Amino acid sequence: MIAAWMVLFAVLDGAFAGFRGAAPCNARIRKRRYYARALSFGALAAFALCLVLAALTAILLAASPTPAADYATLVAVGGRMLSVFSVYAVCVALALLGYLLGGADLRVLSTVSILGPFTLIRPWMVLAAVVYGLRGQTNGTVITLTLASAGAVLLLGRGLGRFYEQRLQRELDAPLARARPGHR
Amino acid sequence: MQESWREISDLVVAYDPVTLARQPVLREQVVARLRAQGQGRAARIVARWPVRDGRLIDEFVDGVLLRAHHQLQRLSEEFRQGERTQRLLSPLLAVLRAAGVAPPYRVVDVGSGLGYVVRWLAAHGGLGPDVELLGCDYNATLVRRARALAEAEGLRCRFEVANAFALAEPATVFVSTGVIHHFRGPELHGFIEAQRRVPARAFLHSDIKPSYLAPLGAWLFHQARMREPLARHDGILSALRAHEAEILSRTASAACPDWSIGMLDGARSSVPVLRVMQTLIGVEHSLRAGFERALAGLGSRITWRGGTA
Ligand SMILES: C[S@@+](CC[C@H](N)C(=O)[O-])C[C@H]1O[C@@H](n2cnc3c(N)ncnc32)[C@H](O)[C@@H]1O
Repeated sequence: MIAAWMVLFAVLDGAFAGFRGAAPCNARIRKRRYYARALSFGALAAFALCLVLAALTAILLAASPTPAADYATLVAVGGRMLSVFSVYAVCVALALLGYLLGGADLRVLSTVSILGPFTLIRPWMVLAAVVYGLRGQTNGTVITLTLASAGAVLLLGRGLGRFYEQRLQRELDAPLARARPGHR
Repeated sequence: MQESWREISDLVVAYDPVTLARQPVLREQVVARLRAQGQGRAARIVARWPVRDGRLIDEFVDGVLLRAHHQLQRLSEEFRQGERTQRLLSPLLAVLRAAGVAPPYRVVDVGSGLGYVVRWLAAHGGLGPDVELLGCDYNATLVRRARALAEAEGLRCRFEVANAFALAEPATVFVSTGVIHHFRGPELHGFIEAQRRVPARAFLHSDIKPSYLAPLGAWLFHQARMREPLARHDGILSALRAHEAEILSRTASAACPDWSIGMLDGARSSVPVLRVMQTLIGVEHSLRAGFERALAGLGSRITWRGGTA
């Protein structure tokens, strides 16, 4: 159950990361389809990442002398991390509801008080979840897997941002290169 | 903050005031000026930029500006700048029609950058076939990009490399977003006076609203949403340099003594998170009463200089 929730959060986070990466890299006005694609691309990338992490977990557990106990510890750590993620997720969900359904004022309030600041604290929130989850933990396998997962989720956000930045840059370079001869 | 602090984007480009041709900018001069003013971070940003014979390279500078403006548009979308302009512009246009002002009504965005507001109005504004939308900017690269973006979506609007106040076909209404804080003192006076001299019938200039939370908010948003160091720096400085509503409306009254000057969302609030933008409004006196009627609910958020019409 805990693992399923972790995957769900990772996929949602991936979708948002896709959106965040894509949003400043397309200046068109009508871009529902672009955003829909960015959301699904981020979600898919996160899901693929979960599969890789699941495989890594299976390998490390198989190599461990105490796989059952390790798995139980991992689930306990995950449970504690989930409690941190849940608080964050509920705040973001409420703000999004306000942004999508509310009037002009509520939109700005959601943006200013939650959506903007929460983007900024996301890495710190993940760090807090790791620290809280691993509190008092000495099991090397569990520590490795937790750090690898948290790191991978943060790196995925970065990677998605890069991906869209490079795509925009290619788009910008093309017309600029053509315009250069007449450029003052 | 010192009054002399300047946005990087204002210092790294220069245009001939008449031909608008790009003029060379010496990197060391910009860096020295920024350092002398105590803008160390800004100086370090520019010091890293490449030069040719000591001059900043136009293509490089424009590349930075292009990326920064794409990131800036994200903020404009989040803060609904298109909608904000439309909610004032639609009633204003209705009043111009009712007053028998001859069409077409030319709405000119001063310093349009990538033209977000103009393109949004073309896509969603529903302003009517008698309205022409034109974005003006000095920067040819930004204008080219704005045109390409409009063309890609088949939007009915134009973009020109031009001084918005010296157009062959003058504006009926001037609008702008995030531009007026770049002008201060006599320059601000001149910026507003130019519009009455055109002569336009009205203007709507939206900009960030100063408050004790604005610098923190700007830091936060530019950190969260911007990648380009110039965009982060200039965005935060914009919040510090934002004009007080009183200064804007006083200057506008002095520059346009025969116009009605109002301020949307200019009132200070103890929890300034709902209204982060303010809009300086100028209309010919004769249009004011009709405009106020047409504004309906929004009217209560406008403070007119000198009280009721
Ligand atoms: C901060 S940028 C524009 C931002 C843009 N409105 C946006 O929201 O993305 C200011 C621009 O104003 C332009 N500008 C200033 N005065 C102008 C004028 N009189 N006519 C045309 N462009 C002007 C400058 O070239 C500069 O690119």
